Amino acid sequence: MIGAGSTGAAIAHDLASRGIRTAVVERGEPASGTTGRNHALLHSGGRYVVKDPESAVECIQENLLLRRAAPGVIEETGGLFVAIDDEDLAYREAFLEGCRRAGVPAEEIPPDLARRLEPGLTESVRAAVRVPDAVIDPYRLVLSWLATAQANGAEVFPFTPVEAVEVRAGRVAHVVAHDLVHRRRLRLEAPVVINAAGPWAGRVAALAGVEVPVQPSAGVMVALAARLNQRVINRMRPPGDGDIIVPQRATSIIGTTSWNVESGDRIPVPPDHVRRMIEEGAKLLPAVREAPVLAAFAAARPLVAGNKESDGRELSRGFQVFDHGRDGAEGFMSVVGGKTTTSRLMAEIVADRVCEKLGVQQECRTRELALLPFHRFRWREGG
Amino acid sequence: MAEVELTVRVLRGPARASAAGGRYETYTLRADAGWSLLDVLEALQAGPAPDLMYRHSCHHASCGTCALRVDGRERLACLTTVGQIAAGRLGERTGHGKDYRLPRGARAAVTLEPLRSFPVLGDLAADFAEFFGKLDAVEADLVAARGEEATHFEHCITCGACMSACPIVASDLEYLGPAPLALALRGLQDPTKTGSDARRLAAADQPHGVWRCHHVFECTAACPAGVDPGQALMELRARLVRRRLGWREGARR
Repeated sequence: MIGAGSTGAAIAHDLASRGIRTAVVERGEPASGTTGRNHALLHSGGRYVVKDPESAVECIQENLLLRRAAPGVIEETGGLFVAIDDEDLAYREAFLEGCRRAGVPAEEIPPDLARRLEPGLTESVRAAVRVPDAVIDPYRLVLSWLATAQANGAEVFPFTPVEAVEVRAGRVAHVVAHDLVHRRRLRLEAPVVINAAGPWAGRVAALAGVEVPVQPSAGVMVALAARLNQRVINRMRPPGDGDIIVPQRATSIIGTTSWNVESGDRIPVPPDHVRRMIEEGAKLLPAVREAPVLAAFAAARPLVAGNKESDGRELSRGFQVFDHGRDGAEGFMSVVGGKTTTSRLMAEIVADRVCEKLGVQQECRTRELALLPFHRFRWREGG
Repeated sequence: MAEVELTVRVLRGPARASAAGGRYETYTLRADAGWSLLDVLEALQAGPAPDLMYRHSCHHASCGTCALRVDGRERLACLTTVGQIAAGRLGERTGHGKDYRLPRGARAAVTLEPLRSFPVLGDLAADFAEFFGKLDAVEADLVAARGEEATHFEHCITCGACMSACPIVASDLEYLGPAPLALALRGLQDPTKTGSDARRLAAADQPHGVWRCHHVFECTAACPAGVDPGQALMELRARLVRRRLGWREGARR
């Protein structure tokens, strides 16, 4: 595994739990790329029910599985979708119908009840629907996956950037990585190498002499120095800028914008994006305007390039697996895209393919397995 | 926002048993006043220090990975901005987006060191393995309560700032320390009754447990999440004393 974000960590957990010898190399701290800086939303699927019902179905199923597997990294807040103008109200019927079809539990409540539950909500609430959104700690989730993988024999090397992916006679042979902790070069031989480098997947693929169509798309989030809501609050309309406020610990996080960037490195936080988040957020929770900003940050979603249908907020199925056997690098695979909420499912699909390649017959067990607590993770062997 | 000519002194060095023994490297760069220290460190990584090791994840004070010693005090790198450093306003919780009205051509200097009392993986990256072992000892895996009432994640982000600031941890590495003991108390208060209270109490009530604290409250001063571990320690002591006296918890007298 190259990369220890949600994708790499979930796949490593799946493979290790099937008894497959697995090593993970990560260039820095686990979850130091896109995953760590995500919106902390455990999707109910509500955001996808109209435009992408398939993703919505996956979200609600995985949402329920993750609550069971890793309750310690999930805050069961619940979520609300609220309509605050005529346009939102016109979306209400399609939204409720979408929830019904996708199996996303949705209960419409009177606007005054919504305002009793969330006193910070604007007076202009016209309709409100409760859904099982929740809040997740993505860093701790990744550590839980990695800790469980370690307990099942996987080796994890943080602070170990990959330097070369060696391909010989049309097959991937080994990976060379610079282990900065032990100040040594690692040479990891493996019949299967999986590139899960997220927005950096193109760079890793180039090391093996192949191409991956990944288009990093950045998004700004604004964390306020106050928790203004107890539940996730979504605008009842097709996904767009500044339409969701996620409460996490002592903050409320407003998200997000979307624009294309070169890589996941050094993403700027444009001040006008921050202003737009606050303006849009204040339409839902007026106190947003007065609350001081704790931090504004940006991450890059790794989108599959050429997928014109999507700007990343509503990515169909969310991910794609590229088998580079076709490109002359048998055994080398890239996984691009994905969402933290559905990472377990993505990992199951990828691990099934790996098993097929290895001729291993082991069923996926991650639907039932509980994860170890995050603090069982160790940065180095014997640590 | 204004640009600042920032001189950064970084305590660097390979994996070692404690922060001591590294060497200071000095870098100068032009930094936007709105940058956090994580932006500064990323700029160093992209330029003169490509192998620079530091920990980061959420960039908004929730993951607890980026605590460092900034000019000798524990701070989260994500919440510390260049503007705060240049204006001498370190420690202000809401530096982001604030205009400190810095003069043109402002200059500033800052020294970055890894947390004290932690082994180091390299450069600024503290190894949290032993710290996490202490969290394990008090079963610090609290489960958010279910039901109608919304419940919160722990405010404690296990960033290690209190462990670094505590003079007792510095002199007794086996001392459980402020964050694990504060989480032990949270575990005892947890309405879902997850985990073993007997184990938590046994861990707290031992020579390297709660009695080791000398109440200097450096932990509470250093905490970037407003947890007040010092107060939690005192409450834990009170509970243990009541138990020794055979008083029932919560009983009126």
